[in-house]
Formats: sequence, C-alpha cells, structure tokens
Amino acid sequence: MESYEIHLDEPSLRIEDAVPYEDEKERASGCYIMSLVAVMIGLPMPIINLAATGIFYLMSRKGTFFVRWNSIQALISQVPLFVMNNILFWWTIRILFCFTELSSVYIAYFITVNLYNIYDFIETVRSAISTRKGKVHKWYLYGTITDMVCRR
Amino acid sequence: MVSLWNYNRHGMQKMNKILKEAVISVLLFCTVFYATLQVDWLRVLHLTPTIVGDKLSEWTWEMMSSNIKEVEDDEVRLPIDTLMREMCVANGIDTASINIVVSKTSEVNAFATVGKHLVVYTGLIKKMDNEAQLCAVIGHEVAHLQLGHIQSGIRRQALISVIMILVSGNGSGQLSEIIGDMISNSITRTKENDADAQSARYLHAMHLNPLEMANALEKLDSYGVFSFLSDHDDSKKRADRIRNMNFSDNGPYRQVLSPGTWERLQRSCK
Repeated sequence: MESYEIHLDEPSLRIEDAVPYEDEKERASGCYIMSLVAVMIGLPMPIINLAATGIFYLMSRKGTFFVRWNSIQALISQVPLFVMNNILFWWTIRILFCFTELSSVYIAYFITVNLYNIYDFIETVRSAISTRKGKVHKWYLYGTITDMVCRR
Repeated sequence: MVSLWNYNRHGMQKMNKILKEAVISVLLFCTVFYATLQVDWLRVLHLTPTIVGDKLSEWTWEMMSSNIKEVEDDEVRLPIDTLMREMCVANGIDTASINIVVSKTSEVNAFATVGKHLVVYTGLIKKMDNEAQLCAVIGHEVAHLQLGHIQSGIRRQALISVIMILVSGNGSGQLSEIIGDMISNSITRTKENDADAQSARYLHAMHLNPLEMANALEKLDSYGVFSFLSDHDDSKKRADRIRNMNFSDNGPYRQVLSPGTWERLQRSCK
C-alpha cells in the first residue's frame, strides 16, 4: 500500500499564515459587511439570515483560500442566528395574532436572543476590520468549525 | 501509513475541540436564558399576558362604538341593566365584566363583541313578546362571551383586518362591514348551539321559562337574527334542541320587571 504524507500543521495550510492580496482582503471583508447587514435585518426578518447564508455559500465556492475561509466563517455564524431569530419571529407572530399570550418566558428568550445578536454584531465588526487589515479574527467555535471544513 | 494515522488523530482532536466548544456555547446560551427566566418580566414591566389582544379589542371597540347610537333614556337603560344584573347574579357572572349598550336602531339584532361589550338594538327589544325572550337573546350573547367564542377568533381576524386596511389604505367606511363579517365568521354553528343551550340554562337559573329561548329562536328567525351560517330549518332544529333539554322543576316562573316597566321599555324603543 502506497502511503503519502499530509502535514496539516504545515504553515502554508493554516489560515493564520495566509498572506492575502489587497483584493482578497477587500472581498473577505465584504463578506462580513454583508453579514453585518444580515445581523441587523435578521432579527425582525430571519429570512435575511437564510438568504445571507445562501449567498455566502455561493461566494465560498469560488475564490482564494483567504476569501473562502472568511466567507465560510460568516456563513456558519449565520446558521444559529437563523434558527434563534426564526423561533423568536414566529413566537412574536403568534402573540401578535393572539394564538398565544405574552409571557415572561417569551421576554426572557427575547432578551437572550437579542444579547446573542449583539455578540454576533460585535464579532462581525471585529472580523470585518481585521480582515481588511489582512488578519484573521477567529470566532469561538465557528473558527474551529471553519478550520475543519475549509481546506486550502 | 503513519502520516495517515496522524491525519485521523488530528481530525479526531479537531472534532473533540468542536464538540467541547459547542457544548460550552450551548451551556452559555442556556445559562443566560435561565438567568433571564428568573425574573418575572410581566410584573417588572407592568404587562399582562393578554395585553396584545386587549389593546386590539379596545381599538376595535373604539371604531365600532362610533357607529352606535347609544340610548341614554333611563326608561330603556334601567330595565336592561336590571335584567343583565339579575342574569349575572343568578349565574355567578361578574356583572362588571360585561358592558351592555343599547343602540337606537330599527334593525332587529343583538351582538357581542371583543372587550366583553354587548350591543342590543332597540328594534329587538320592541319585537320581543316578554322579558324572558329578551333575556334569552341577551343570554345567548353573554354565553358567547363567557364561553370565549368571541375572544378566540375575533382578535386574530381583527389584526388581519387592520393589516388589510393598512395595506389597502381603506378608511373607516368599510371598517364596520369588515367588523360585522369578523363577528359572524368567528362564530361557528357548534358555538351557536352551545350558546343557545347556555342561554336556556341562564334563564332556568333566573327562574324564567327556559323554553322562551326556543320561542325567541323561532321568532327571530324571520328577522335574520341568529342566522349566521344557518337557514330556516336550522333554526327549527335549534329550537327543538332547546325543547328537548331536560330542566329540573325550579318552582313557578317569576317576573323580573313589573308589567308597567316592561310596557314603558317597549314604548321607549318605538
């Protein structure tokens, strides 16, 4: 059996060591700008989160490693947001249409999801700024998943 | 071979890291959610569970009441209030929870609407043979309110109507029509039957003849009252259903209003 060597920790394969060109920085940063818009509009309209996820997926299919990695991280960050915002959206609709009553549980969930949206917003801004400078801002969990999913 | 093993090992390590971080993230989310759950937000923010429906009800009633010509005459108001109070006391209903309004209209009708408002037209009072029949009609509407028939469907429809108005830009001209449709559409045939039976029980508890409910149904059928989603045969069946109900003998039927008061009430409604 023929063996071959794969050096996963080889510097050229790690996102931290990627040296992007100016246009790559711009495109990768653009992903986070789009993500920022999705975070802002996604809370009242979670369909925007879904649309953003689709656009990021299309963007990630082509492009350099640096652009792909960042677009995938932006994509992954939208998935939990889409689920949470969707639950909140339909819960709100049910209250507005009197299918269910307003409760402390709803308000607690509303606050929690809003806090998460704020966290997502801050992280997206940080990522957009870092990426524009050619650096990588790895999110907790999402960065690790992206490392696993996105290969050079 | 060794490198391939290293690859697998490295992959496992990454998976473990992802799992660990995922568990921590979920735990963090749950902790924040649990912490916020410890606060009674409704009390802190001075909100009630039904605030949305209540506000919607108030808003709908404000629009509806502008088309109602409320009768201020005591000859009309006092006997109606007396009948209403007697019905509530005999049946354990909170008197203050229902707002009864008499509207000066020749149309023979009565209806209950959101916010526990009950509207009785003078045309209906004029056509009734006796106070028991009038109580039967009022009792039917009270039953709709007490059994939650109005609240459940109408609020939803009210919101849809509001959205329709906002989208189409139609003013209050069509609003009364829409609200009328809302009331009729939100009450199904089964709910009508339940309200009939409940009204007959109300009469029985008041020591009034419960069979007057059946008489009222037959009488009002020709005027189109109670005819939402029903036809003439249906009214006959509804009356028969009341006649087939078994009521225990609770002594001689009484007169709530004196004959003179009843006469003056009917005269004032002409």
